[in-house]
Amino acid sequence: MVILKVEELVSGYQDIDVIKKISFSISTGEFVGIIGPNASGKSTLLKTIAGVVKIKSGRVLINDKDIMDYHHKELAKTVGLSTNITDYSLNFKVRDFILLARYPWNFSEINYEELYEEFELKSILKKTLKELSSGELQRVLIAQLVAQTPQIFLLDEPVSHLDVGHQIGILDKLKRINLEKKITILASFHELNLAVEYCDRLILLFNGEIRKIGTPKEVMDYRILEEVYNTKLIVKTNPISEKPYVIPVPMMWNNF
Amino acid sequence: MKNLYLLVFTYSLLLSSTNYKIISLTPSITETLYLLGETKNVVGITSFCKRISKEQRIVGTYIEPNIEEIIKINPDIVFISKEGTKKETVEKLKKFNINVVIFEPVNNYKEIKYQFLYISKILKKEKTAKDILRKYEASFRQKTKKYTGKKILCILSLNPLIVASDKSYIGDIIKNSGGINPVISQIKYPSISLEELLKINPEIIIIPEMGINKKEIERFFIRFKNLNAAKNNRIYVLPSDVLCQPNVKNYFLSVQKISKILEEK
Amino acid sequence: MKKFLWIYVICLLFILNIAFSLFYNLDLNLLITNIINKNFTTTEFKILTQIRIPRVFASFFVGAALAITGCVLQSVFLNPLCEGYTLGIASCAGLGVIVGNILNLPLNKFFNSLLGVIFSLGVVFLLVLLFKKTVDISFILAGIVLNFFFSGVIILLTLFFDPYEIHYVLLWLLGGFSSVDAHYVYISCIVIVICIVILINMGDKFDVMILGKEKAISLGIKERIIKNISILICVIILSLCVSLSGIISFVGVIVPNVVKMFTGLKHKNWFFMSLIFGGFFVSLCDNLAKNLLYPLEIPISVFTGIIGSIFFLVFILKGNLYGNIKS
Repeated sequence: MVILKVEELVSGYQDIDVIKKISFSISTGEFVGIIGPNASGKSTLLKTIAGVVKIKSGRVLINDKDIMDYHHKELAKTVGLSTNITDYSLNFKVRDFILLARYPWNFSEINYEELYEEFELKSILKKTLKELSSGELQRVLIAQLVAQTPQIFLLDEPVSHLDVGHQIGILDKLKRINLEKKITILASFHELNLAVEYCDRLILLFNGEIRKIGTPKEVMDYRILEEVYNTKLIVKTNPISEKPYVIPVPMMWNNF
Repeated sequence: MKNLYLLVFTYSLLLSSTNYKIISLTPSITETLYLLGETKNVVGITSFCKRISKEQRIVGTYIEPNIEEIIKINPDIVFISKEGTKKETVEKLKKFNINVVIFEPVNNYKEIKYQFLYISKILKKEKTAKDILRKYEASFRQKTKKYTGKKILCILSLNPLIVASDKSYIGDIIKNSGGINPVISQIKYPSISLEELLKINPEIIIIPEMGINKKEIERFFIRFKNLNAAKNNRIYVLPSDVLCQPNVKNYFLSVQKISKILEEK
Repeated sequence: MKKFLWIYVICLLFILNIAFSLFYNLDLNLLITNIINKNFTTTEFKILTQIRIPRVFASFFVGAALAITGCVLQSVFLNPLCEGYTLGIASCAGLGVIVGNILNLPLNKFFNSLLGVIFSLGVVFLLVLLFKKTVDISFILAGIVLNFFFSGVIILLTLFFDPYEIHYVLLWLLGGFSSVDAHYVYISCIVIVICIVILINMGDKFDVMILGKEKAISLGIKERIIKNISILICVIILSLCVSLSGIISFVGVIVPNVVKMFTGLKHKNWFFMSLIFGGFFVSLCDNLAKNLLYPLEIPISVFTGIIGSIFFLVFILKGNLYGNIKS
């Protein structure tokens, strides 16, 4: 069943179009990754779907209903966006911060204990966000998104600036949520290999257009990737998961 | 003008008995009241006024009178000047049915005289007032027959340089004591540049001793030795309560002082 | 228990403060006999009802209003230095009143201050339009510009109009509650209370809003509308405050920031505690201003400035400014 459908979407800021006529659709329970070089429109695409960036033309349908027809709070109940927060709000205590996610539900109760357990937040509940490490902060941000209980998670680079251990930790949690609760996830990645490992499908964006969409195996074509990222790459297969992985080749080795 | 006399009439009715209570919220008017012999009836003054008896109560500062104190005294009349008072204070006092007489700021002898007679009319002491005026004016005529034509500059502040122009109260004193005020301006107390000071090159400089101490004055004029006033050592520091509180007595005292200064050498 | 102790202490202080400012230097015996005899025309009674009670009301509500507008503006612009004064709103309102007074517009004081409201509204919303994209720092800069503009215009006015006439108004602008008009105080208090209730009810929305524009919208907040409404309400409150008591600066920065250390960033608590402490602080300062050197009055800004900055310094040194004091 298709949960999210994007039709000929054009969006951007003031007089710059960042997203140029994009169409794709995602069905319920999929884990889809958006990859692409810097300034290719990954974040803007996510923000447009969340209703933050204005749609210039085209449509975004969630559950067959145009997001423009949703009431603000209704949309927030369906789609959750995880993005940067202001420095000013880093003074929130973790507990208060997570509670904010219940705003669209008028602060109705959910099982917080379970949530805190799941994201190992018990020990840091009384700390302010400022006092957390970036790994902990990312955990809190995801936990807040879970507390919002939307059907679709939109994650803007959930694992950048983290070490490998934390990256895997966060993505494992997301994957579990995705599988157990049948929550659809659309996340942007910088790390190609992580995207490949966790995503069912990948969308490769380049200059605001979709260069390639499909399973990791289809998208991880070294010819396409070399063109998009403008560098030499080698694509091999991960012996355990049997998924492709990408090794960049620095310019200094090109002569060999 | 007619209205004014009507007003005076009503006020003087209020003061028909000999025992009445006056509050003066302006130092210069307090002085005037003393001059008219109203020492007993002035029961409330500001902290800036001269206090002549212990029974007088201080009802706040010149700028911020304490309304409660005034109401407690329940005076027959309150004298107030427009320069130092908030509109709200006046309105509030009027709400408590207190008679408030507001005086416009005075800038020359004519206005001072008018104010003086006005007060005396309210207090029904016109005769005393006229006698006082006659006495002062007679001495005044004797003194200022000689017209010296010397340039006198009155400096009120050194930094920024603020002086009194011909339209101001001090300008009028200078004129009537036989000097020339070289600063001609519509603004009463303009700020002038140092260049302008050199150009004017006054023969005499007078400074009220308000906020400026003597050392500062010395230090300032060391830089301007070429000025006629500095060269001839004719910089005078005058007591500010006489020079800056406009009323009849102070006016004539100031004129006397300045004409004396003019006559020196 | 220990946690509530200081709340009791402060409540006690507050009651003492109000009792003191109502009954200090007043013949109580006489007053009580007057009330018992239903003799309501005596001086004592008049002083109590027409001067002291309005004054306590005015100082409390102006303080509360200044504090809560400080909170709101800080959260709207995400800058802990924002308040009516630093943003230039207060100056604009003041200028409006002065111009109204000098031009002798045939309006009473209430409408003159309303003129100030409209004037400052115009300026602020013009700025909102101009700085649509960058909200944070440009507003403080705009405030500084507005303050400079304000003093420039005042100097210009002194050149063209009778300086005494302006002096008359400027003295009032220095701030103070010595001659507030009873009826005007009560009307203003009602308006201020209504505005405060609206703002406190918006507390949850502010909680979400300060996460940032994108996060707020994705959580279902109409960010732009809330910002505009809250600025509008702040402008109305501030204009009322200015027309009541002139410009009392500093309260709007100090009180919210000190209170924030105890309450954290939950806006409902923060707003509520700020308005109580703001009201308490200003009425305490007014009490001191009036009674410390009785019958001479000291300008209230002296106390808000001195006490405020000492408090502020102590709190900055004690914990970090934005963190929470652990209980």
